[in-house]
Amino acid sequence: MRCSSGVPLAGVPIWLLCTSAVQAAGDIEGEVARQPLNPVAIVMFLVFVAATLAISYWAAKRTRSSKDFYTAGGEITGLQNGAAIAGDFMSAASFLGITGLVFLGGFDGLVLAIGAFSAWPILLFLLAKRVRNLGSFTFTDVVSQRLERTRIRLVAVSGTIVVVILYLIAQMVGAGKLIELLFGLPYEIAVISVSVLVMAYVTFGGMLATTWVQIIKALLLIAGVTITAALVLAQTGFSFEALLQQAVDEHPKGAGILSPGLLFKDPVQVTTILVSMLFGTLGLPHILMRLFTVPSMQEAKKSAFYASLFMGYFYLVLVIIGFGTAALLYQQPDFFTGEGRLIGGSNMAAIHLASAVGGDLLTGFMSAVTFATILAVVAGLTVSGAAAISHDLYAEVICKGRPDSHRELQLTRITTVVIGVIAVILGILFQDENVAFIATMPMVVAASVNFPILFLSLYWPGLTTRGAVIGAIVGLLSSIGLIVIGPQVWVSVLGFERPLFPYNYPALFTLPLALLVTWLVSMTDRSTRGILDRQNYNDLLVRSEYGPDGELEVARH
Amino acid sequence: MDSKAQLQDIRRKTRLRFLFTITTVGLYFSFVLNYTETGGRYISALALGAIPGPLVMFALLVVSFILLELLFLFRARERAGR
Repeated sequence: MRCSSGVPLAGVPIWLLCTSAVQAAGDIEGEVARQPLNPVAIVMFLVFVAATLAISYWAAKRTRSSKDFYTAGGEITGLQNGAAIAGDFMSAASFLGITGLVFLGGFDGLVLAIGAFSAWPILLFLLAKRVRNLGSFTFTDVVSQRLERTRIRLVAVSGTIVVVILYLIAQMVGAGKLIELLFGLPYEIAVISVSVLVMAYVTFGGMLATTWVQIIKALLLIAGVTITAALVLAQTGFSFEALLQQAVDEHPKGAGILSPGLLFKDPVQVTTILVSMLFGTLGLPHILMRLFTVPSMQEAKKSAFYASLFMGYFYLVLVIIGFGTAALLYQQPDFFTGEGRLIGGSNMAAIHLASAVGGDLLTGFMSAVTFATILAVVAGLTVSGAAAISHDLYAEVICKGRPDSHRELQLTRITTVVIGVIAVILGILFQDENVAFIATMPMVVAASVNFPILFLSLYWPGLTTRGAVIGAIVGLLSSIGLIVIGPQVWVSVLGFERPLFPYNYPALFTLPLALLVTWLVSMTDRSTRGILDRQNYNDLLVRSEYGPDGELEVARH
Repeated sequence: MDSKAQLQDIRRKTRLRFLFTITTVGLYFSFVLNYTETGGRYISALALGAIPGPLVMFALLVVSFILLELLFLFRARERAGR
């Protein structure tokens, strides 16, 4: 089965929109049906841009050091950071993509919603405190605490860069298509607009501006879905049961939409998607980086909790919106083409629903929120990519941890601009390509490279540098290899009849393989460095629990 | 707190972390039961009126994850208060 040539929307689960099962969802096609200019959407979007640029100006005056740039000076509160994490993660794909899947396949669309949500409790239980206490700016800081700095940093930076670049390509192509569709802007203009705005936010305002862009976007998205869901429920006298009944009555698949099995049938396929989403999210560098923007580990834990609250609410409301599209759109032929396809593809279901229940005003608002969503996600990625180059590589590897801080900040800003330019070039280069596999890779790579190194460095005394490096390389190569011989590349891109590996998202296999290799190599590592790595564990353990001040932190908490 | 006591304290906390994690991961992957015949039968028993079991399960999972987080934070605060 072939994923559409244009593909994915912005945001975390976008890659899942291109699973073979989801083909039916009708991703944004290579040649999108451009919508007429929507003046309400344009005005609302311009208001958002003006507000966020004003914030960037304010943030720029407060961004004087690398610490300010990477972590907003570590002065974001837990609540603000939780909202920003939610803003970073509740993507256009979560909103448009999952709604589109429920519109087509009913209950099965919620596999992606539960996958997107479940990483947050684990982030709180396993990672938030220890990562916050051990790191400075990036997750690479954490893993280099007990392992040999240069080698492990190079590996972790590679993992970060691969994830950020692939993620960025998918975002930019998705953003270009989506904006073309929603606003009627040409693809190239859309891609350049996103990049220029993100460069303005990040270059001048660093993490502080990025944080506030993400917070505002999260609040707008929550407000938008709440209003849409309330208007949907109003159509059925605020009865969810009546809404479901109407959805069953209107949907071509009838009662089948309330049960599993329309989009996904194989339990292994569902499991591998769930594994990719859970552990991939836990290894996303731009999400982990947000844990350093708060002043203490207490606030880091609160961040994870508040992020869960925002996202839990969001995904529950999405159930109403998803089944609302099934109940209300199928009865309105205006939203369908002559061939019976939803205008713009199923990813437009949420926008059409906004139009059906709230008219032009709500449609304009939701379109503007979608654009804001893309900006927020790309901004987070850009900060993370810039930190990997200027902090992890330049300051910590090349300058051995003693960089000139002014020069580092300068390099960070230059890197941001370079990333912005690269994003435009890649976005335009890949506009007619099948980027489904590129959109898949970041989560699988994050799950199979970043997560195992991070988890084992925090929780396993036996981990050695050699084990971590070889395990990460095996995780990376096996992820890419299995994706290449899987349906997305082997069949859709290379044109073979059957894939050599049956699943698009191989993290169910690559993550255990990476863990096994890391364990095996570490266990057999008799090098001097390996002995030192093991000895470092207890010291790291104490610092990870009590912070750098040890006893002081114990007394405080 | 001497280093032995510190390590004991850390071990206790780590056990707690893994307990919560395993519970969450177990609940999370129970979602796959929807795609098996036997599991599907059990889950359909969760139905609330016209709301089918799988949908109820989805909502319960989201809510239970949040409750687990709350419980974890309360326990951590309680221990710190001692």
